[in-house]
Amino acid sequence: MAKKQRRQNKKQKGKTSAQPHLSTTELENRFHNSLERFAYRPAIKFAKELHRREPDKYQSLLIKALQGLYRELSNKDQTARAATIMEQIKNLGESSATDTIELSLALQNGVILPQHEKIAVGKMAEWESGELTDSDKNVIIDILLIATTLDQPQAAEPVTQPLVTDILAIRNAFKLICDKQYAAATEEVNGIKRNSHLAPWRLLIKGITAFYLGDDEKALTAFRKLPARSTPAELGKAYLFLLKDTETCRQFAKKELFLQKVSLLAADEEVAKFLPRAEILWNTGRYRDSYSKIEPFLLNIDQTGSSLQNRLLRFYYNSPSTMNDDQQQDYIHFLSKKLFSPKNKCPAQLQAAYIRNAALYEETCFEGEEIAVKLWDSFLEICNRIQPASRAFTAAVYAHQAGIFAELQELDQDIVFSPQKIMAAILGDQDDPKLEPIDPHRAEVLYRRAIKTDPDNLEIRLKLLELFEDLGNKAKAKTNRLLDELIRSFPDNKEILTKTGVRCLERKAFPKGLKYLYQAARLDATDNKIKEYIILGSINYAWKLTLADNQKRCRELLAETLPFCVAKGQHLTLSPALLRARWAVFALFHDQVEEGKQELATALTADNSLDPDEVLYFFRLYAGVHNIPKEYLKGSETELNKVFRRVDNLDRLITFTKIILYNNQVSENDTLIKKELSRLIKALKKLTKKITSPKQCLAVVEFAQSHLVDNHKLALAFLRQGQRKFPDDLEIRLVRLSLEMENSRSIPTYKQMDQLNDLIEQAKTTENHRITRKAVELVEHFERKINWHRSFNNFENLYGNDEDYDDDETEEFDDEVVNEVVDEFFDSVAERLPPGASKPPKNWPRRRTRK
Amino acid sequence: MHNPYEILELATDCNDQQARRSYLDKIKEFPPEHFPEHFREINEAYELVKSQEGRFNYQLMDKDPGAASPIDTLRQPQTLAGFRQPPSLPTMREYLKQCMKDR
Repeated sequence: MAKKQRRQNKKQKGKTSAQPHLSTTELENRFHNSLERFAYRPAIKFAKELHRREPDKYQSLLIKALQGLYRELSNKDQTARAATIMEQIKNLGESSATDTIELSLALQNGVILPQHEKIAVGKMAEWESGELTDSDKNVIIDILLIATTLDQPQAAEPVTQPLVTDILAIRNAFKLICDKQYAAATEEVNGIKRNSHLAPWRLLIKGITAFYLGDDEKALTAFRKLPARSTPAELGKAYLFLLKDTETCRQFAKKELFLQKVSLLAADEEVAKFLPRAEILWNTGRYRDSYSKIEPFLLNIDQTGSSLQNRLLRFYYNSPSTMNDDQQQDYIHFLSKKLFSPKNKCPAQLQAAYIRNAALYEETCFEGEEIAVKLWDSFLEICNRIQPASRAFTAAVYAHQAGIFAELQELDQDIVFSPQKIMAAILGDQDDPKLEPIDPHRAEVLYRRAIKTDPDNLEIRLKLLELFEDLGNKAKAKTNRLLDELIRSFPDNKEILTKTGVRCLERKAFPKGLKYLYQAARLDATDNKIKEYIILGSINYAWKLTLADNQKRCRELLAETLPFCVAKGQHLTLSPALLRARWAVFALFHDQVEEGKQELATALTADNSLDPDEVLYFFRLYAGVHNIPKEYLKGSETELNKVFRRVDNLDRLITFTKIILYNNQVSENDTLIKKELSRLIKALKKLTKKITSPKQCLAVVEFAQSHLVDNHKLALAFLRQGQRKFPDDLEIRLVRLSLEMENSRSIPTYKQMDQLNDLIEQAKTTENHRITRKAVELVEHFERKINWHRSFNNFENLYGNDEDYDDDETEEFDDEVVNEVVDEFFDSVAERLPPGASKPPKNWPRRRTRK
Repeated sequence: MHNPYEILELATDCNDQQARRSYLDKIKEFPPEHFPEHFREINEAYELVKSQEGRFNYQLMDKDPGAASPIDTLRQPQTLAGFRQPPSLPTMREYLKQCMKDR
């Protein structure tokens, strides 16, 4: 009750606060003070009191205050209240005062009638009179720019003629932009002066033309320069949003009204009705509701549908792959209900898009292959309903189905928890897992089906070949049969000829293999890989002929092979000099000393990219590993001794390291290789301080770390020296750090990890992406190692502290308890397992990462 | 990523020659010196659709939503100069009205 009384008192007080006791002068002062502070409500009170006393004199003051309040309310979007104020102004009977307000209201309501346009034209006469505020002028310009009935706004006074010209220029510019005449649009507004009221519009037009011409920088600059709160700035906002201007996106991306304008500008009114709402719903995680909003737009999709329809289809149907599991399940379930409900007649395009995504999803699920294959069948069926699918497309779907079963997976998933594996994982020395196709038989059947559907499709046949190759020895016969079949069907295909040739060489069917490779080389004379295969095949065949005492054919073969050699970049297979050196070795094997000497002499000058010392070293090693009698090699040995004594060039020794590693691959003489290694390492050690480039340092380190050499001391010596000479070289630092960390007995130290992280930072700063990637991989590797180490320690701790350990108690351990503890450990280990090495999952569906 | 068919203005059942023709037309229209970003997109799109195998692979395997949100489907093509189409004059007038209303 008391509350009600208080409210009434307050109301009464409000009503009687017109200050009747104040003098007119005081009221006037207070009115002006209030107006200056933009306090329109008190100003109106004072003005009303003044107006009551002398209506004629103070009517203008009252209108001024009401106009101020009207604008304030309008700016706050309080349209209804603003309209009431407007009524009050009208009731005062001052039409000229209400004109601009009426125009404002028309703009706000979005209904511009011819009478408004007329008023705006009339108001131009007052342009220079000082009666119009800037805000009034903006309203008049806005009306005149979109006026439909006025093609030629008539100027009431000659003084407003430039204004009319400017307005017409802007109107024409918009027309030209819509007709894609961007240059003409810019030209049209060039006449607008900088001090004109339409200067911001000129800037806007320039921004818009720059936008459509693809000059983003210019467009952004223009739009950003537009005066705030002006109509041009409002128009520019949507363009800024389309240009992904950060500030605009941050401020307006969640505002539906703004998004409506963007949709209107970039699409049409129809899209503007649903897309902004769909956007808001999507961004708040209401994916199903968002889809429902756009669904009607997608329902009339057809083959020639608009691009936006296709983009929305792609977005709404491909998005599940970006959602988390729960959201994905929920959304997919919702879509399937929508699409396959008998009540709901959905276009086949949508169904096909859904089925395709579902199939792709199933492919990633554990044991989802069969479901995926069925889904692909359904997909094909639906595609046929839309439009009969071509043979090629049908075959592509079958081949894709085959690919699901041809994918490689780890062979020994069941024995992943063997003690050796766990220890290897702890030490970070896991071997590469053995991989085999998931179901080779199903894959082959499906590939054959695809080939039958589209017999001309080479790609699918090559995929089948790949499947057989993945099976290795198990499908050797099938591989050969398929290759023969391929050669018959595609006699002019370089790739097939090469593959078949190489396979024949592997089977030691040299003449056949070389025949195919010669054919391939004729098809592409620039392919060095084919040449390399030919040379390797010929060398092996020549050695076979040498052993079979068929020297004549051996010579012929080597002579035929010489044209395939390329003297380029110290390539140890392609080099003509080294083929000659080999020829010399084959000749010496049959005691053809003269021929051998002659070939060696030719070899020493046959390749500019190799130094004679390097050719000689190759010859010596090649002869050694082929057990050529020592008396034939005396001369070259003496020469090489001299070379090693005088060598002061690290590059020469680096080539020697390559030669020794190359020859080790064909070695039948371990003693010789060991002896040569020892000599080479000694020579390298002498030249540790002669490093002239990081490349040299890293080449020696690579050699020292090779399986054959495995000499950490040599590697570290060169790395230390390299780091001293090239302290800024990140690769040397990284290799040294990784070597030191690998050699530490247990796990890397914090200091080492910190150094590695510092290195990553430096690599990022210098934008050295290769080093960054390598270093990050190394960090991940060591972090895995540390985690394993920790799990192992936890496992030990499961039994309690050593102090509490009692032998007698362990004897009484129940088997079940032990099993529980071991299971717990295995579970904790399973969580830390690297992807692809997990225990078979208990719950379906569970993700599996394929290799 | 943008839809390669949209970038090259190709039908999904196009052949190798049509894809090549369209690619050549596009790189002529958007030379790298003036439209580096668009040129890169055109090249990437062509790599995906230049062979029949590539086209089928894209049609079967595409998992990319192509946009970050529904409104982004509208904005995506606008990020490339060649896709910017001005609205019709009535739509532009309507857009002006909307902006004047909200000012």
